[in-house]
Amino acid sequence: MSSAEMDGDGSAMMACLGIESTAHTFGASVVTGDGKILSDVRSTYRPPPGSGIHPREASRHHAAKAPELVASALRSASLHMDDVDCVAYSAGPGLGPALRVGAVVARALAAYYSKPLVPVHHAIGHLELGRLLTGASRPVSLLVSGGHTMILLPRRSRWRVFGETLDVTVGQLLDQLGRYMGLPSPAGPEIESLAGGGSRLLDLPYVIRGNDLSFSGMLTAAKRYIASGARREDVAFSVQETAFAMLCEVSERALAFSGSGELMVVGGVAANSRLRAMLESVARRQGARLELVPPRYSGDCGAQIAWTGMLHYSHGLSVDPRASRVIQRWRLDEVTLPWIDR
Amino acid sequence: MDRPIEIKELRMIARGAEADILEAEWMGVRVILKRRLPKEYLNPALDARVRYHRTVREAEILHEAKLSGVPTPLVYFVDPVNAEIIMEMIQGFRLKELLESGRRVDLLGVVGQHLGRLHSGGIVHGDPTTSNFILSGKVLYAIDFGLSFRSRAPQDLASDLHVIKEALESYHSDLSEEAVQLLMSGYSGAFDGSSEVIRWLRRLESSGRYRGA
Repeated sequence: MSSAEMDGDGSAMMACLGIESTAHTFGASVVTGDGKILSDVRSTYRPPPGSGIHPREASRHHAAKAPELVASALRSASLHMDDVDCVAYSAGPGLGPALRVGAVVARALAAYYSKPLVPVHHAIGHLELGRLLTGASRPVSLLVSGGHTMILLPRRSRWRVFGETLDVTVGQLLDQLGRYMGLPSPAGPEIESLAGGGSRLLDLPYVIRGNDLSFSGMLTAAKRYIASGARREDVAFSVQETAFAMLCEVSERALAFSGSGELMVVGGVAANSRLRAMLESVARRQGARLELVPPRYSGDCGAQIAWTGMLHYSHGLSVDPRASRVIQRWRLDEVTLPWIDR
Repeated sequence: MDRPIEIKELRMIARGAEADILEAEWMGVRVILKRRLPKEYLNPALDARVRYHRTVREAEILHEAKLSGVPTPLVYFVDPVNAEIIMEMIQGFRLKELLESGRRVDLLGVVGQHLGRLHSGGIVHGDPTTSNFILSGKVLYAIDFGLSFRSRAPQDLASDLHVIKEALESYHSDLSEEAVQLLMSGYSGAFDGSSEVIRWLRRLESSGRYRGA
């Protein structure tokens, strides 16, 4: 669609302020109706090495950073709150105390400036921002983060789950292994660099049931290897090789099943270069194109919420601030998305 | 490992995500050769291990299905190291074609019965689409157990019913509601635990997918 057409119905001129606060990251961003990211700022809470995210500490961090980040997002977009058409927030799934900070900030802004308030599912934010930035239309999508491990297809007004983890996510697998080895959290990058020094493949459970995956046995086995004195490099290497192979296998099946020519990967673990290289090969085998989100936008950020909020709002969705809430557990395939056709 | 008897490959029938299916000649008989190919993106040791175990499991389940009363191709030879299975070639018509011509809707009762019998035996087929049943004479065979696994969990069993219903709704949407009823009554008649599985199926269908919160 040309920008002139967009201007015709005015949506290109619209702007959405999005607020992300599901876990480690508090983010704020302004995105326009035609998908231009005018600003995207964030701050990430870092727990001490060897320990995981503490929900209360994360929420304190978010509350302390929120005012300056929201102001900075508006300033870099050269907009005032009066110019914003709607306020979107990550309503879930995530850590209750962290989610509530974002919801309180968004509610307050929406109520004070009389703006429509739009709740957004965090993971749908990853997927929709991914489609916006890659230009993919109906991609087989691998969503790999701390909160999710799913292989999805956009079909019939929803993101449909083709396969998913039955227990821990890949992000949790890497984080919990990292924490066990005393690494800082999130541990993905450290595990990746350790894995670069490994070469011996240790035997780990490779569990696929139907199109679903299980990683909990792998986590237990990997910890046992560490406890019994195996080289950390070899354990990190083996966990990456085995877990990513499982993801690739189900992604390849989804490509073959759907006939989609696009494979997209989003979420924090998408930053891993070994995973990217393996998916590149999966796509090639199936005659598909691998669509990678720029690393800056593959992890949690305000832009995913602002853009998805924009999509919801332009399809008529907003909520009364008094009735707005956060949902700690919320399946993404329960959300109806009118912009996804059959 | 060398094959004890040479096999002559004749033609490629299908190239799937996981395996190639070939028509071949072996000991003077037409056979199906199923071969799991190495994947260059996998660590070679891991790839070899996965292909080995999958091949063994598929051959075992092809046999176990018969013990549960479901006709499947006979396994002639298994080579887990090269990840190959040589099996009986079932000559006949795919259920998919028979449904498209609209003549044999009655076979859906047999499909339901087959799934019920597999589930009674603790086997999940994994991919029971209408392409994976072949009518040969009067016998309906279940084929392609490449994604099958052993489970008695109702949510796993429900996924089989979901796959066949999805296939009926998307590829054979002209079939009447009666077709699904035939399927379900065949299933219920063959499996004592069917009501629990059907409950899971409803939950699965109502939420896209359902897993206990």
